[in-house]
Amino acid sequence: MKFSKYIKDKINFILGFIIYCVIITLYTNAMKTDKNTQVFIIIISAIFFISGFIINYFVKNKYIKNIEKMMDNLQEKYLITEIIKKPRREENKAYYRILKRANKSMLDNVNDTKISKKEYKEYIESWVHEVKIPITSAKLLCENNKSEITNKIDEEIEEINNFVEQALFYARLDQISNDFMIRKINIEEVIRNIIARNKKIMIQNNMKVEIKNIDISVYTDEKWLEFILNQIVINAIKYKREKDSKVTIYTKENKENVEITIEDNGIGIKKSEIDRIFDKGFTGTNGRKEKTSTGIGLYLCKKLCEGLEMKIDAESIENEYTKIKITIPRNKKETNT
Amino acid sequence: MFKIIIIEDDKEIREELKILLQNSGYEIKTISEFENVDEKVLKEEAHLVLLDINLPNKNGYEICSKIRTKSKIPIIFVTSRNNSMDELKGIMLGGDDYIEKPYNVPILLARIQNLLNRTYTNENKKSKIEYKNISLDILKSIVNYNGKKIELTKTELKTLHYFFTNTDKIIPRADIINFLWDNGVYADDNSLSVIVTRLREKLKELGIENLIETKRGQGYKI
Repeated sequence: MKFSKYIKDKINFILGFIIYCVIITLYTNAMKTDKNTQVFIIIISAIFFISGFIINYFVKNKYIKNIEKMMDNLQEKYLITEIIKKPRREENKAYYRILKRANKSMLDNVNDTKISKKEYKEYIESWVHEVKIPITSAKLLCENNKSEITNKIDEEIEEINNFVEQALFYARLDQISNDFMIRKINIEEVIRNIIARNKKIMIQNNMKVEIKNIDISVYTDEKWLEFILNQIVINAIKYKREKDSKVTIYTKENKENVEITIEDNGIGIKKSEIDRIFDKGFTGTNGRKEKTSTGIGLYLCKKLCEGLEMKIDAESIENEYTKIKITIPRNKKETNT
Repeated sequence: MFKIIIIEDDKEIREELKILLQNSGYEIKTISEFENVDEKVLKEEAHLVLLDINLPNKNGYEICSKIRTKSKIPIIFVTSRNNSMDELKGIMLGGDDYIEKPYNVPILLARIQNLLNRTYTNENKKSKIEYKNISLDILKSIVNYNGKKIELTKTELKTLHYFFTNTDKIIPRADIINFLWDNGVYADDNSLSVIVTRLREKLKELGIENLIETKRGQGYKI
């Protein structure tokens, strides 16, 4: 609070004092008091008034500065009413009470939202768990009754399964750190699982798969890495070229990290769109041709990568190739052994 | 023959899994009453247990730790819970493996096979297959015929192995490709032709001719 602003705020007091001085002057004139006494009264009044005025400014200023400082040090700013001292002045007490009430109602609201969000997340988790049971039996039924039709149904079920997984990982996004388990995993095993999951559709489309130099171990969460890489492989299949389509998966070991690259020779991504492919809901020109594109898959990949301190990058030339690169940091433990 | 116990409360999954594993050459026992499951398991004297986690009465974790107090039988948790904590718990309580539903069938079969091989070494395990005096040594990746032998690549070995286990019938190309994919060889239609051509050349060096017949538009036959 600047002093000039304070003066502006208290302008009516100053006007009041001037009026007081005028009245005193008029009164003493009427009483025929001598000039010296008159000046004395005015000066004494002025000293009291001005010093009171200035002291008041410093007290208030300090009070406000104090609160502001507390506020700066506070992470959750809205908790300020919990830490400021209850004021002694009646006027401040009133403000304090008002602030408290406003805050309480806000906190109640925030808590309600948190609870309902948590409940919703739990519901999604249990729903996913439930829906996987019929998915499992449907897949087994297809496996035990192999025919051209059940093969196709199986592909569709795999697609349902993928969407279900997306929902699950989406629900877990904001509590990423609670859910992963970092341990030593073999990239080859993860990649082979992913190829096995997408085997049918790849064989049906006569796609080539090449894997190079992937027998490498990294420290990360297996499920999450599998989900991320699976999303990328699914995209490579979805946006393949008509003939001689191919997916190549390879790794590169650096001193500080391991890079996994999934490269396809598919329809690629427009230069103008490549920066946005990890944005939520972005489908792009390619996506709009495909009715099943939701713009969620790559967004989830990006978010999950961030949560696991991995990096994800894309590189593409339209109608030639798309390369998606995942960079997994090596931790100290790993470099020691 | 290995005997596997399926502990699963969903009837459909239980029955289909039973058929699937029977078709893969296992003897199957299913449990559909969930009282004293651990005792039932121990009485069966099976080689492996497939254990669901969400079960009526006691859950899979409890059953697992009860079994573990008396037996070292391999246990695979099969569940639709895919939470890292669940998996950790399963392993801590003495489970040998943890597979998520919906499982990919070849992966499930491979994990079962691996665990059985690990636990019961060399039992029931054939390392050589013979057909028409041609002997295929799977471990060494070698074909023996009339005292002569030739080495095969991994891909050739897998392909020939598949032929040897499916004799006297036409094998569709798609089935071979499928089998190869399940075994980590990602061959497309063209590369299958190349593999078979090379295989024929190698067999010819041993003096075996016309072993693999091409059935136009259908597949191969030996």
